[in-house]
Amino acid sequence: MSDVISLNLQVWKQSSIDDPGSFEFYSVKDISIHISFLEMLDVVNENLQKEGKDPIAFDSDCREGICGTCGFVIDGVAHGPLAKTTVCQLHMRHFEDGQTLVIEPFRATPFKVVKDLVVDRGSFDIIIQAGGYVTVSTGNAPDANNILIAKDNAEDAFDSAACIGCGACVASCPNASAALFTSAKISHLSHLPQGKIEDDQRVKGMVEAMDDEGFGNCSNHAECEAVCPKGISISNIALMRRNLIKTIL
Amino acid sequence: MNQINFLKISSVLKKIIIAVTGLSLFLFLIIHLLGNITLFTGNPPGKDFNQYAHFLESFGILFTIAEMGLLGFFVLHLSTALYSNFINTSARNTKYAVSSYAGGKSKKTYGSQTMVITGVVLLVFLIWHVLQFRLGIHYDTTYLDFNDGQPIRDLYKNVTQEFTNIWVVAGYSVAMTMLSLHLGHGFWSSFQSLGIHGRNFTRITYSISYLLGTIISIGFLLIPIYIYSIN
Ligand code: HEM
Ligand code: SF4
Ligand code: FES
Repeated sequence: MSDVISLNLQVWKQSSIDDPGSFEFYSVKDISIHISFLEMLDVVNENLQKEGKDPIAFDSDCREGICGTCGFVIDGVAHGPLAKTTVCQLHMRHFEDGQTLVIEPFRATPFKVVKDLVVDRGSFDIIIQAGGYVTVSTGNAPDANNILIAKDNAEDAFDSAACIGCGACVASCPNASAALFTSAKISHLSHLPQGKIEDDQRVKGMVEAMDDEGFGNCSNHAECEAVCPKGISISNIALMRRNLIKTIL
Repeated sequence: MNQINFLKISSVLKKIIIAVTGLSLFLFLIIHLLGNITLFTGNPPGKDFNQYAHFLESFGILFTIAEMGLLGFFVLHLSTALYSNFINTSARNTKYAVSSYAGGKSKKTYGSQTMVITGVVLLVFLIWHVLQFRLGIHYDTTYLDFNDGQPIRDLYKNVTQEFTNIWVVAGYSVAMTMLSLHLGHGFWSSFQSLGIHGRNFTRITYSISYLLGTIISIGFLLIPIYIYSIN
């Protein structure tokens, strides 16, 4: 097996928020199978720049799969074909020589396409501002282990806290629902004593913000869990619903 | 602020309404199916069924209240579901050129994506179904040993008249296929919507969901097929 492949890329190009946008075709050769998908786009962009053409805009930061900045849809699957993997950690060895790939930005009405594959996920910040925090009085840092937390609770909280806010759940949801992201943030704090006391106002505020931002409603397709690079479970969504029911009862 | 807006029910609450009403309709379907077993028994044919129907109607006002409640659940279920679907559609103004299935933990199926279509077909079917039987022609029959020999409604005659028409049987087959898909996603989904989730619980309810939907649909479908075949 050769260590380089050729690809046919069908990439969404859109110059600004107001531009309707369209697909652009790129034929790329001599791509090492050892580089990541983003590095592959770097190579494409380098060549485009040499030819004086507009490079493909995409977001990235850590390139280690931990910051949640990168993300787009490859052949209809957010973050591409490999489970629990962001596009920055997706390596070209998972693709075949001569393969045609359709690359689109995360699509949801609240996620505006800024340029090409770059989307504005500011709606997630608004959801967090509506309750994704704990209220603590400032002052000296408290002693460690002042508040005892059972191991299981700590583990559950950590599983939910693994969400990196990439938005793939929204992108893959047939309804563009933000339920997985929002519920991961709610569960993370709800599993801990420091967060539990603000459960009611948190779930009300965050669900309201989620709805106001224009995300769809969850229909339990669970496609979000399948594309989530951190494998966040839809059990978080069930917890969010339980917490909301508790505020009514 | 603080303005009461009845249309602004939270997305989570909408899903709870759809689930509670959906599960109740599911329960109704099971009772309806069990009651309909009387179509297969009785001598002369139809006696058990007509007596069962008469027994239900004999509750008078209570029966009417139950019927209205059922109607209310239907209206609540489908109006909340349709309204929710309208919001879902506008949450993605620009569609993807390619959409696919991620596999793995995904529960996105043909059934889960066609809930509105199967639901609307069921709605049309249910209107037809109620017109055929509940509001159908009123025939009378008497059984010497029942109701002091006084006439009761011969609903069995309506049923046999309808189900000897191959097109009616075909229509029911289509509707029951829709029902199996709708319940296939709807059953496990209702629990998830109500916040009832567990590693094993969800695995089991999901894996029996489409099976249950299919069993119930086939159960109902046996009625027109049986009546058609004996006439
Ligand atoms: C025999 C009658 C029916 C039964 C037993 C039934 C049952 C159910 C159940 C159990 C659910 C799942 C609830 C959940 O996921 O939380 C559901 C969802 C749904 N139903 Fe029905 N249903 C029936 C008729 C209808 C009708 C007439 C419509 C008309 C439009 C409809 C539209 C929907 C839709 C769109 C959903 C999905 C909502 C969502 O995913 O958010 N259903 N149904
Ligand atoms: S839940 Fe998963 S897919 Fe959604 S934002 Fe968090 S990490 Fe990304
Ligand atoms: S660039 Fe940070 S997760 Fe991909």
